[in-house]
Amino acid sequence: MIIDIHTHPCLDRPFETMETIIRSAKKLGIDKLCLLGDVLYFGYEPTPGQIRQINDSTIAIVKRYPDTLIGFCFLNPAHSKEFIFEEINRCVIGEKFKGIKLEVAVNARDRRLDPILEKAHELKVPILHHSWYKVVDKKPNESDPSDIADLASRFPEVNIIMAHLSGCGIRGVLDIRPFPNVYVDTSGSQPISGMVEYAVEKLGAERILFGSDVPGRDFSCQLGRIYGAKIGEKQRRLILGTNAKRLLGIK
Amino acid sequence: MIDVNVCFGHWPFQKFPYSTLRALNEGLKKEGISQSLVSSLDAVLYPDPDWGNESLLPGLSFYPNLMPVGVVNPLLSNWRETLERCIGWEAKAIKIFPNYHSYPLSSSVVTALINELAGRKMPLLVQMRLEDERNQYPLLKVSGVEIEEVIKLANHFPEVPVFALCPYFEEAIDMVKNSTNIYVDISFVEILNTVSALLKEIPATRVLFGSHTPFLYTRSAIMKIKATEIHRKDLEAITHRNIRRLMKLEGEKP
Repeated sequence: MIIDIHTHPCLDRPFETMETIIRSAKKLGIDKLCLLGDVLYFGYEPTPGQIRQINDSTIAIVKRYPDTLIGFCFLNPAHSKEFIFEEINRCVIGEKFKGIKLEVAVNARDRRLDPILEKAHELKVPILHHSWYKVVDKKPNESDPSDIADLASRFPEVNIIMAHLSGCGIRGVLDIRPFPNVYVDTSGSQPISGMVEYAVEKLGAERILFGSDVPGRDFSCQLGRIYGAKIGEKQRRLILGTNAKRLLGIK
Repeated sequence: MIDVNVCFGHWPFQKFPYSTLRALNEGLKKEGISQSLVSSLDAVLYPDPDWGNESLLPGLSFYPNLMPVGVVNPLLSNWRETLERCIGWEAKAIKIFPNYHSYPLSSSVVTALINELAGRKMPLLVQMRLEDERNQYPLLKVSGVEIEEVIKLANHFPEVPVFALCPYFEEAIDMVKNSTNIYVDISFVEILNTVSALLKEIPATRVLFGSHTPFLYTRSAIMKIKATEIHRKDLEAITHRNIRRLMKLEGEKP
């Protein structure tokens, strides 16, 4: 089974776009897609109303394709605890979403993330957090892998998926190596050669998850880095789906 | 399948899978690439690219599938000599790195170079970028080449085919729409259903297969092509017919 841990729906024309996305995924043998929400539609600091709108859209799309799509609840840690818990209850408990997505509104070191992590621990769902070591275009509160490592050290019992292997780079892989509760997804940037092999060597294939970041990226190109990597077939299978299946509790 | 975007050599910020030409040749063949345009990567950072050319191009004669491309820095006073040496090693095209060698495409030295290429009916390869700017080594931040510069240059020399290597999706579209002689490779072009999406905007006759090996996984470019749902004629144009026409290539069928 192939599971893409990192895809986004489009708030504009959500169903039409999703139909194309699913058709493209199936053609390449991808069985399931995790939908993280159209997280940048309203910019870097979405309001509670905008968060609700993004999650509403994810809920509606997942309901249309329940066998293929897996919802993640998108949150902005700057919001009140009451609102955040309301969204988690609505999406994770009510709609059986399998994870929580955090983007760039608040840095991962910020203690405002703590209630979200505590709730994730209680509900046993992973947090997928944006991360990148950028030398240009870094957003004010954008997290890098050292920030993710800090978060992981504070919550060693919560599974954290650090997004964007190629954006995190060699240094990013080494940052998270001491924290077995941190996984990395293979999305981000161009398919830079050698990165998958390096992550397998330093983290083990068990901590790597296939992610595409579609529709801004292409399934074919992003799968190419997994199929083109010089790794064993067992390791490839773990990355493509076995790890995600275990992490998300998919039967 | 003919790959227009392959380098060989060392790069201080990435460990490459191919350390010999034989390994590169085998690796490309294994991916289904029958011929490639190959240039020296060492020539990018050496103060005189001739050092890179001379360490690579003569050796390519042992690998008929790897077609030599010379690297020229027209800012250097010996660039004509470098060009002649490259041609002596049977270079099929010349590649320039304006932002690594630090000159604008509007510079008179570029005009002189492109005049030489026009006379020899050789294409000019412009390396728009080598890496995603966000991921570069902090002390070597090199921005991408401005597309306006490439368009202006191409429009001044409509008889010279200009291959823009590693443009992003929107850049590729803008350059093709605003010129008659710019051709773009697919290595950095990416969006859902990349090739189909690109062909909704520009004709297949202006698109070239390029993998940007060894910086990127070769398989990714291959899979972009294999996954695409476009007319067979367009697919053939991108994978080999365009480049055969532009460079008057003979020989082995892809």
